[in-house]
Amino acid sequence: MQIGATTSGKKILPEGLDPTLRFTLLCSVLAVFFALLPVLQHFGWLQVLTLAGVTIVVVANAWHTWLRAKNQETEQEKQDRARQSTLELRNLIVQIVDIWQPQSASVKAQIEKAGMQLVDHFSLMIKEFDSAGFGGVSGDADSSREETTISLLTMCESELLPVLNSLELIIKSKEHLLESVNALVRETVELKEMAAQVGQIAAQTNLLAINAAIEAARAGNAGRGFAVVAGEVRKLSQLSAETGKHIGDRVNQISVIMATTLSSARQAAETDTKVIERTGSVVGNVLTQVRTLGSAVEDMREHGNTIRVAVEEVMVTLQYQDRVSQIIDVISNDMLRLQTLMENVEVELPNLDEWVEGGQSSFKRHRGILKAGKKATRRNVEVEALQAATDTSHRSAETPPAKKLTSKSDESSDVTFF
Amino acid sequence: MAKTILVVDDSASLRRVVSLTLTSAGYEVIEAGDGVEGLKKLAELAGKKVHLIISDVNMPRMDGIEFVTELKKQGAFKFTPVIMLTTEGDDEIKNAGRAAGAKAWIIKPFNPEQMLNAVSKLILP
Repeated sequence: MQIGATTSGKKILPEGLDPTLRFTLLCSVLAVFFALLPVLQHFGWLQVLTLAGVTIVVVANAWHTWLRAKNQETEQEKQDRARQSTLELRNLIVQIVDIWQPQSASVKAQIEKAGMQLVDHFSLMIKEFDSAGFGGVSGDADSSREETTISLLTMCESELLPVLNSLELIIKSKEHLLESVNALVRETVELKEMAAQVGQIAAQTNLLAINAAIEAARAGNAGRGFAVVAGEVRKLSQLSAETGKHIGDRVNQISVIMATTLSSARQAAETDTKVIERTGSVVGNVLTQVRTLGSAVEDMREHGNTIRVAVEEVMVTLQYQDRVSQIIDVISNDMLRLQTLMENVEVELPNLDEWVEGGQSSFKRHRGILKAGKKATRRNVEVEALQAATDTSHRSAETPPAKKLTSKSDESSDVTFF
Repeated sequence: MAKTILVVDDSASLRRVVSLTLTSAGYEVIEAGDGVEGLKKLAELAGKKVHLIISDVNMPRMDGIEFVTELKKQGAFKFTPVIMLTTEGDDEIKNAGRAAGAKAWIIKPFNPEQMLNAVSKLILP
């Protein structure tokens, strides 16, 4: 775009001498000519002196006039050059704005695209964290998931500990069984002795019955009945002896069986104890591992939560992309305003205040964005720096701060309820 | 059943951030790029209830204030609460938003927790 070059090639300098100078020179020549007239008639020293004086005055006057004209010429030249430079500057600004416009649009588009990609990636990361069971700010489902993980570990511990206790109880009950079997063996020995005693009692009863039969035989007829009783007692004693023998035999058999049982029970108890001890050791190890795993899971969950919160904060920070886009919009609008102003050579250039006021929504909006940015980013050094840089480039935005909103605005937050 | 929120903003990335915040809290989100598209989306809903609207202020074609003004003219959305979400913080424009019918004003960048609190306070039952 070119501004009209109507005056760009205009030559203000006059061609030849200035008319005033020409008139002055003409007058001087005429004055010299008239001064010469008396000289030509009455030549003398007075006439010569007069002629010289007139000539000097005329030449001085002409020299002075020529110098003045020359100075005027230089001033005009300077003004023309300045006007020309201004026009060229206007042209340059118009052309530069034409270049800046697509560049600012491209910057905005690239920021938007990159911002979108970052948001997508970070949101994917958050989803992955959620899938892995790391809770977020508002993740009720996530907290229940992590509770499940922790309760699984607790359950493992609470289920395995009773198993360990049960195994110990089994060992103890086995020992009781062994002791009972031992007691049974001891009882069997006593039974054996008792059976032997029965045999002895039967032998003695048999001996008594024989003696009684002898005494009955001696008594004759009077002892006949007693002899029958003695015979019966003898038979009973023989039966008792046989029974005692049977009992002894059975007890012996039981003793053998009991010994075998005891031996087997001892062997089984030893084996069981070893197995149970080993099982207990394994369960104990498993519990230790579970506890370690639980602790590791807890650590991992804590770190995962920290990372997830950090990612969420990054996503909040990404909202500045929108702010940057709006600032670029404002700058772009101002560039267009500047271009329009530069194109219109008839319009007088405004001063800084007029420019700011003339900006209307553009600059007011810029101020609004920056002010809001300042409030919303109290703890964000980078954005403060961005604002400072923008403030420097737009000094006009440094107006007295607008009064604070007096409605139900919460000063500690950026939310206002109407 | 999940409550529905319409999010109107010309920045696609910001819409995505808002959308993620709301969906993570169990809300259903409909997105629009400016006021004109917002009104169009609402017209296309065909009877489906919108429980809340979150709108930017500076947008091409139709800005947030115009959008809310148009919205409140329609009987169906007269009582639908609107939250303005914007970089603007001047009292003048805030008052314009309030006059148009907005119920809250949140300045970007927003804190997700604060936004969810505001949403839960204002959203229709």
